[in-house]
Amino acid sequence: MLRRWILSGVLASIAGTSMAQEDCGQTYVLKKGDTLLSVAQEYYQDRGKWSVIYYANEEALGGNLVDLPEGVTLDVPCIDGQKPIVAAMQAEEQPVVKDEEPVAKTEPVQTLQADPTPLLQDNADIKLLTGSNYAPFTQQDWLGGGMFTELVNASFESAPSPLPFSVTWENDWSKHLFPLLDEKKFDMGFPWIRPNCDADPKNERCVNFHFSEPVFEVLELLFAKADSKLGFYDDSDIHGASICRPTGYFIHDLEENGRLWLTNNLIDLVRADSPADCFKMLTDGKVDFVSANEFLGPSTIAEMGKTGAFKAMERALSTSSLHVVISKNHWRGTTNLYRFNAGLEKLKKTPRYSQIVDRHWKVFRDSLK
Amino acid sequence: MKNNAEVKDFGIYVVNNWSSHLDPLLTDAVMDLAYPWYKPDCKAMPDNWRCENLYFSEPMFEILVLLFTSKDRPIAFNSDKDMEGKTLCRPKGYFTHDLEGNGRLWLTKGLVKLVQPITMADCFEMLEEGKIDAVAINEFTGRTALKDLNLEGKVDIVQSRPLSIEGLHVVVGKSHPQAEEMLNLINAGLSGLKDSGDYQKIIDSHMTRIWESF
Repeated sequence: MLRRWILSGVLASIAGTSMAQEDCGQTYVLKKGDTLLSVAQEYYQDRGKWSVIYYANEEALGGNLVDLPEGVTLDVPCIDGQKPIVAAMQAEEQPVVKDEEPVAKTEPVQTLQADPTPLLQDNADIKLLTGSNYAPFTQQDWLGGGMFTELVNASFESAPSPLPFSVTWENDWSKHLFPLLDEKKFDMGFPWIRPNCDADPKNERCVNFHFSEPVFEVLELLFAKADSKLGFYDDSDIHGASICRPTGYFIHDLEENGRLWLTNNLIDLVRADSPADCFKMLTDGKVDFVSANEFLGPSTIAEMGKTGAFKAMERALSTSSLHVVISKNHWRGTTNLYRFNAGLEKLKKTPRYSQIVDRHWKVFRDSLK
Repeated sequence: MKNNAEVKDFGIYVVNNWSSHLDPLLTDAVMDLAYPWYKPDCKAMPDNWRCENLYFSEPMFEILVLLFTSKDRPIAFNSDKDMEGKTLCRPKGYFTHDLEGNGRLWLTKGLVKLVQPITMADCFEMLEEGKIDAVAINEFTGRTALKDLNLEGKVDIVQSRPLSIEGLHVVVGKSHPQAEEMLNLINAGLSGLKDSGDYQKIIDSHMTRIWESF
């Protein structure tokens, strides 16, 4: 197993990550009510692999992550050459598979290896800035420096005429945009959430920075008690419900896309001091749902020792995208942005993107144990 | 130049007839240095006139050359192949090496038709009339023209993929008696400017104004 992992990592980097996948995988026609999580659960028996499906079908889905267009045919690609299997077929072929256990036998995470970083060097042409305490995205002592760090590495490698880059870790995030990136002490920074610049063009991030194409989309999920009868299949299902989201977290998604949940008092938004406080209120029956992203939710539950006590709704509440940024005043502002975007676009078309994401999901899951 | 102790004084001459700059003003060493000039892909096109006759400094700035298309007639540009059979417009006097470099040879092989009227406004007029498929020009010149001509609602900028990335350089004629000294001078000055932070101040003041104006 160890050999296979190392080998696939090396192959991916040497072959420019263009392994043929055309004859591998399946197709699936979207039905009403399908979500990325439900399709991932059905074909990979693993909701965490939703992004593999999303990025294989980004164009067909027209950028929709929450409500998927009915009737669209999705490609469900192979992961590491492993054919996706629907639960029913899997039951015939492999009757011993237990529920929730991925079909592909999971390697112990200790054997997982980060991709090599041939372009990473000190004092390079492009100086990148990131920081820790943002696992599984960026964390210096995490495998490969985190999922996002690995995706950035791989994107730069896939760029046309690749340039060497350096990565600097500064754990005080409040210094990153202003002054370090604004004053060009570093060339590009990651990962950053893009504000809605169309609605808020004066936002200082919109005024001062170019944002790359989204590198990774994070799903904001609703968590309910495991025995809860409440469902979330469309927006009207939660009108009248109370939702806890910690103080300081964004709320724009509750108003956008015609929701106006707060303006029209359609939901009761409860703010607690921390994600854990929200889950305590959920346990005590003081709120109906907790809103947290797909990583923060499970890790909070695990830290509380409450694994199994809650369930996540399969329809996402919203998504936020994580980006690489560069100052608009940088002498290579748009050109470095393009170099990165072109590499990212190429990366998303290769299996390497999902291999990286998948690897970090495994490490993340393991960290919850 | 000011950063360089070896330079006692220098003069800047503004000559609006760009076509005279490289030849004869530089080749006859009437002038020592000229800017800003793009550098062709000299590895692929060593016999390009600029490659044969000029030395190029390190890039002073870097920009994207983008396609500007009509909102009514969008064109996809996902690979070089998408440009085959298309008609592009770029005013006379602007470089064309990006259409030839990186193995493209679009003009030599007749894969792409290039129309070269006198002004930017001519190009955008032809775009509106459907006579061309796209205006191919650097992002700043293009955006400025869109604003000046009040065409922002009618023209799309193809952001997914630039035609090319171009550095802007200072050049010196290879026939100049002190060509190499001059080149070293300008590169050392640029490097010193970057170290002192003055380079960034200059870029900042201009880029802030430019992005605000769009």
